[in-house]
Amino acid sequence: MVRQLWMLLAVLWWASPALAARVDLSVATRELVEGQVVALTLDVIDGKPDGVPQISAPPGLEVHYQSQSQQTTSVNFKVSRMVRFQYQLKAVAEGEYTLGPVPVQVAGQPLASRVVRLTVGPRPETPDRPYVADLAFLPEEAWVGQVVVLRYRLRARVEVLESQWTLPELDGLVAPREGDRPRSRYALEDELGPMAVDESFIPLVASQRGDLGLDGAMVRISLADRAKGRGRDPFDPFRMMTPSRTESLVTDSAPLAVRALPPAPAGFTGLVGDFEFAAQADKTQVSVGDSVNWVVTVQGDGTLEGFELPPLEAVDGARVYQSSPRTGAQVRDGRYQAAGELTQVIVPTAEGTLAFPPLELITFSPTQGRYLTHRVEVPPIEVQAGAEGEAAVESFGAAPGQAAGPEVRDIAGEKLVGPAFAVALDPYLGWLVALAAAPGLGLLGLTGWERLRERRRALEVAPGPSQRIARLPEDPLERAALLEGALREALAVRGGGSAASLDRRAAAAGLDEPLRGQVESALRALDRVRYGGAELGADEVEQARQAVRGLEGR
Amino acid sequence: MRGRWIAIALSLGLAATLATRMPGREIVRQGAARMAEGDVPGARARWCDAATSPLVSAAIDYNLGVAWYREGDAPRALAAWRAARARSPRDPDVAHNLALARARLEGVPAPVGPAVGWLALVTPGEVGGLGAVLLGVASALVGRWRAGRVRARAWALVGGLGLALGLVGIHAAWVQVRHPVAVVVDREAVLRAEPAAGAAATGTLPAGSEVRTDGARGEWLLLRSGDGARGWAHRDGVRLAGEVSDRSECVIGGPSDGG
Repeated sequence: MVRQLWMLLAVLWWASPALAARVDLSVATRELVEGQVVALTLDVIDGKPDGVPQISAPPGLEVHYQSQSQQTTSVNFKVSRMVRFQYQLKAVAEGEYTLGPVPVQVAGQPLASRVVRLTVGPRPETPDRPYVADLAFLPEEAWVGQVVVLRYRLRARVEVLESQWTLPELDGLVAPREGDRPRSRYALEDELGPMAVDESFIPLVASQRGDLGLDGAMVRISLADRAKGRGRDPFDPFRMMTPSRTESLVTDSAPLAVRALPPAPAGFTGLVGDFEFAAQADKTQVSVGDSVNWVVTVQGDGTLEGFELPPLEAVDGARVYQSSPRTGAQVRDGRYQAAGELTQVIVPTAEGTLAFPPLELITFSPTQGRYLTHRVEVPPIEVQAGAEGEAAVESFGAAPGQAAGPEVRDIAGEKLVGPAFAVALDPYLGWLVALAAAPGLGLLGLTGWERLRERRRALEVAPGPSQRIARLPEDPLERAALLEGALREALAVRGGGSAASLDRRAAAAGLDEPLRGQVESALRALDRVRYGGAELGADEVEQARQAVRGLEGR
Repeated sequence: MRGRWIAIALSLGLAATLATRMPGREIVRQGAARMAEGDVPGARARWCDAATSPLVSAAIDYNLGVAWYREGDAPRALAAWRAARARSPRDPDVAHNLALARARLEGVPAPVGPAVGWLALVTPGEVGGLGAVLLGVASALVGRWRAGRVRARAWALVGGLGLALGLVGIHAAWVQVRHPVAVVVDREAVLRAEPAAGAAATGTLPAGSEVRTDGARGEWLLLRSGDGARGWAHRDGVRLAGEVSDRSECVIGGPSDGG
């Protein structure tokens, strides 16, 4: 018995991945056109598939396996593993198709994905130019209050690295608060070859009637230009960027005609679009004091912003509270899709059967061009005896007519004054620091230059003795004095002493012959001229000059 | 002496005039007027325009975040508020709004902090600006030193400190530019091992993830999340804090991720 129990546990443990595993098949878009190539993804969650799952495509579609990846995530200590298989789905022919269920073997156990239904439309007119941009409203005719989608699209048969759109002002069109602005990229193939399509969508609500069309948008595209020479780019030292050139395109205008709504009947909800309503109560048999959540779901192609259910008509034996609506929207395949969940909480206060009259919700249908009335029923609620006030109403807003209080402090609002207006200095810091340091550095540089100049001046050598006697004055005594001074200075420099203190013998004492003889002879001759009245001839002058040059070592 | 005071008064007057006539302030007022009329996209478009100006301030990013948030785009609001926080890190409103926007997002990894730790308290501009002021004082001291009124150590000390602060500020600003905070917008970002669409996916980051950018290659960014996940993601789904990469975001109802 114990052995069998262990075997059962082992089988359960072995099979548990397969039991817990899920397979999910998804496609980038379900509305394709002939020639379009999109990504198809098969996710196997919490299970390891036995090999790559084969997706058999019906005639008119082609599926090619591309890659596989695996990822593990941990949320709240729950580890989840996902194996993702990427395929390429190509629409070959027009038609309605069903893809799947895709069989996947996980730990020997057969699993299957859900099916995906696809519509392949006719091949669009594709441009034969290398690139073309266009702008369009979907649809081009609308009613005031209707959501239209602005599509701007770039189709290119050449490699586009980047595109930047500049859209004109959208007068009379307001973006709904809910709704994404998706961008999709895919490839189309035709006889001219592959073409990349890059399209973006903006949902907009027409807020006034008239011609709200746009003149055209501008798009700047950066095209790969691999033939371009690769010079050294200071902003791309590692040469990671593809060489490119920029082109500007202007689209054709996008027409949009908006009509005013016909006079609205009383009770018009304000919803413009094609909507579907459904309602459900979470229980129909309760005790007094219990709460019943009556949930109305709505979905359609119009905005649900600001929409609230009108309160249920008051009936004896119940109080009704309105909960905050939950709404959301998205743009898929170029169409705006909104969905909402609106809850009213019914709290019975007396025994019996509660019967509410149906709610009538009036909307305007753009496709039919008229107002429609939707009836939403509340099922009868059987109320048994109980204790009033025991209800556990977890979430409801104010009763009709009362304002609901915010759950948390709202975001702090916009700023109009304050220190936050200080211009960010970060981009200019280098300049700022350089500018502030410049005067000081300039002054320091000036100081340094001045000091250098002074030092150079100090170091500048005064004319030497032989230079001073190169040109002599006319007066013989001045000549003799100058020659003697030069001779003594040369002697002093040579001997390291004071020129004035040198007598003839002492001056010549340290000199070798014949310089010693020349010096003594020159000094004697000069003494004779200066103190003996002798003539200063050219010989004496030359003798003195030679002695000076000899002392200077020349 | 009198001439010096006149020069100082004239400089202050000029600075005050420039501050009050700052283009951002007027644009913020215009956006606020539209916001008061309930025209949130219009307000966002005005502020988005201002955010592309070279004289951007934290107030513009902050208000842009408010507009994105009111339009229901919490990830873009986060990106704008992260930019505002980088420019005004001690602003309590920015911190409050960031916390509120993060609370709306589920499953996102822990947000990354600033590129340099102390940037949570002060901005590179404040540090570098202080350095510049000290350098200016040091310049004045050099003039006085030349006149024999102060010792050389005065300008050396002040100038050295100013230069150090200036260089620290410049370095932090450079790091911030090199490794900006990025926020995943619109939809989850697939992280890949290589900067190529065909490379193996290494993980995903949900919309609203605040991550650090470690590098860039063409249209791909190398991202690192707060919990350590790292990989290349196409920049279409990622908005760098403070970046208005696509002018079409500046039109009413502009695209979330460029066109």
